[in-house]
Amino acid sequence: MVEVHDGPPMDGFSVPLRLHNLLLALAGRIDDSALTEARELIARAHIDEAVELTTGTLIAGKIPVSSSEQRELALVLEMSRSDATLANDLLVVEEDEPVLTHRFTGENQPEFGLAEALDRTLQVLPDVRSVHAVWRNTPAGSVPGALPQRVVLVEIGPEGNPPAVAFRVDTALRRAGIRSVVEVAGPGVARSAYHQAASSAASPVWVTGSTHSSDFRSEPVTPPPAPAPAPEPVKEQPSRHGLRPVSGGSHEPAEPIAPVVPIVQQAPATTSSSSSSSEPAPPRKSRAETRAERTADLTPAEVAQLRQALKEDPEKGREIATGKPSMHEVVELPALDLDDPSLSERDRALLRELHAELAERERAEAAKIRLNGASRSSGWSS
Amino acid sequence: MDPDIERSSHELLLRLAGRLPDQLLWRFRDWLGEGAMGTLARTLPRSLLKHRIDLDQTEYRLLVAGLIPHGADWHQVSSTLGVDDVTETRYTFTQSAPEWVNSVDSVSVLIHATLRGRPDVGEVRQSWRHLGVVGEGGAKRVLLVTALNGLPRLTGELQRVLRVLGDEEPGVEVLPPSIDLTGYHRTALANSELVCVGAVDTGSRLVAA
Repeated sequence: MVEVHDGPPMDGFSVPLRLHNLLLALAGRIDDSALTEARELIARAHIDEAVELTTGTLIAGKIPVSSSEQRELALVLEMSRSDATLANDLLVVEEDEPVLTHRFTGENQPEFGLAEALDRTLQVLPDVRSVHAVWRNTPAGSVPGALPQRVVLVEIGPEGNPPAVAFRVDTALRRAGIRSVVEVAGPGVARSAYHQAASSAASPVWVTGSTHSSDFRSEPVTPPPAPAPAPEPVKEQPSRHGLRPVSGGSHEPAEPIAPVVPIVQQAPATTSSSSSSSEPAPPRKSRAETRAERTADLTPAEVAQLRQALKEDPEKGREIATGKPSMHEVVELPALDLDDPSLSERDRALLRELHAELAERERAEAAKIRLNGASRSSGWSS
Repeated sequence: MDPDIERSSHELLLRLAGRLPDQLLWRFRDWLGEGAMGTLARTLPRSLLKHRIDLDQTEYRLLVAGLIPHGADWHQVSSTLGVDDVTETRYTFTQSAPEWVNSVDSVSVLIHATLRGRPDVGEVRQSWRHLGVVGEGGAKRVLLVTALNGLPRLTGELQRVLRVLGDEEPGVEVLPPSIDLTGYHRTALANSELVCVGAVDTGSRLVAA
């Protein structure tokens, strides 16, 4: 019943990740609203509310859990300063319960509209490897929602944060009026039977090629030329996770989805033959480097912006270097022009340093790509 | 479950309509309907505090009566008692369905099929709730039911039906015959339409209220 504990031990995971992994194991057993809300609460640093919602849903729904799941929930309750005795009310079943089987189908285009809705999100979120979608035709939990339920399977690499990705992807889809439940698998977590069944029927939405070289595509999967409207459940009213109101009772976009713009950035020329990541600036240190450290580094785009600003206005350049202005605006990369009379000696020295750092990054990126190979653990797509 | 405890908790959750976020309220009502009092006792007081929802003295007494026997934290419960007047609801209600509801309102039809002539159920009405100016935000269906017995379970049952039909955070207000209606419920009832009548004749009490 519980894959999360049959896999690698959870001791090395942070409290949010432990709860996220528990939610992965509970997918298909508790209602999709509880899953989605709990993941949002985790992403918003309300771990106590997330674990209380999860535990309460299990207790009220009399949904059986294993003793190891009970222990894990009690631990997360304890570590999030909630009342750990809540876990005593869980319905614990030791013997093998009949496994809940869900039916999934990739027919009727579960991926319809997703690539467009997630375009910006997938550009921004780090280390997203693939997005798949599938319809689930069976109810989940004691208070299920409408069927069919679209399940979106996201696979991320070690640089991504599963709860954050789940929350952001869900938000983007909700904003586009697409009702779904988003399952995000990071590396090192065993897949449950639920996720295996879902992924075996899922249709690809967006895939980048670091995990499976044979699957590599540097652009989103283009939907078929004339998609039929995907089935949607009866719409009651627009709620947090529901469809947005649309006039005329139509739930789907009127126009077929046009092929979307490729999302994966072009890799530098020296590495284009073995591109592995959609991130423009991979870390120049080891893979063990934390994300917090990486945020302090400038990407090549930011460096270019800094260089341009230095030329135009040294004061603005210093602002950029301290991270104050928006880093989203990428300016054109000017050539290294140390002879520019408007530059001071100090500016020239800084420019030389930046160019040296860029060269080092390119070398590091090439080394990283060589290291990646097939070493990454697989996620949803098998 | 002790009927007094159940009644107190149900009335409290009724009085929180329009104040506690829908997302939490329907879930707490579901837990009450399932008799998960220990869970409710450990989570509801803290939710009230986190969402800065103060209780008046009546509501506070209901909280104490309903949840202290099931292990609610006394410190948290005590902190919920507010001193100032409770803020009135920000919602407006209309009787007519918004445009996006199909001409055949399948939810109404199903509720009618389920509750018409049902024992212990009186009037079943519905209203449409709007946040701010009518027509600018989304409209939400609010079901208003009078019932004599088993109110929490009926609430849970109707919530499950509405969820399956696509309302993820259903607004189901199952009212006992003798209750001091809140402004939220008074306004909703005043702008509601009749869906069906159960086996209990409540006359025109709901609308007149």
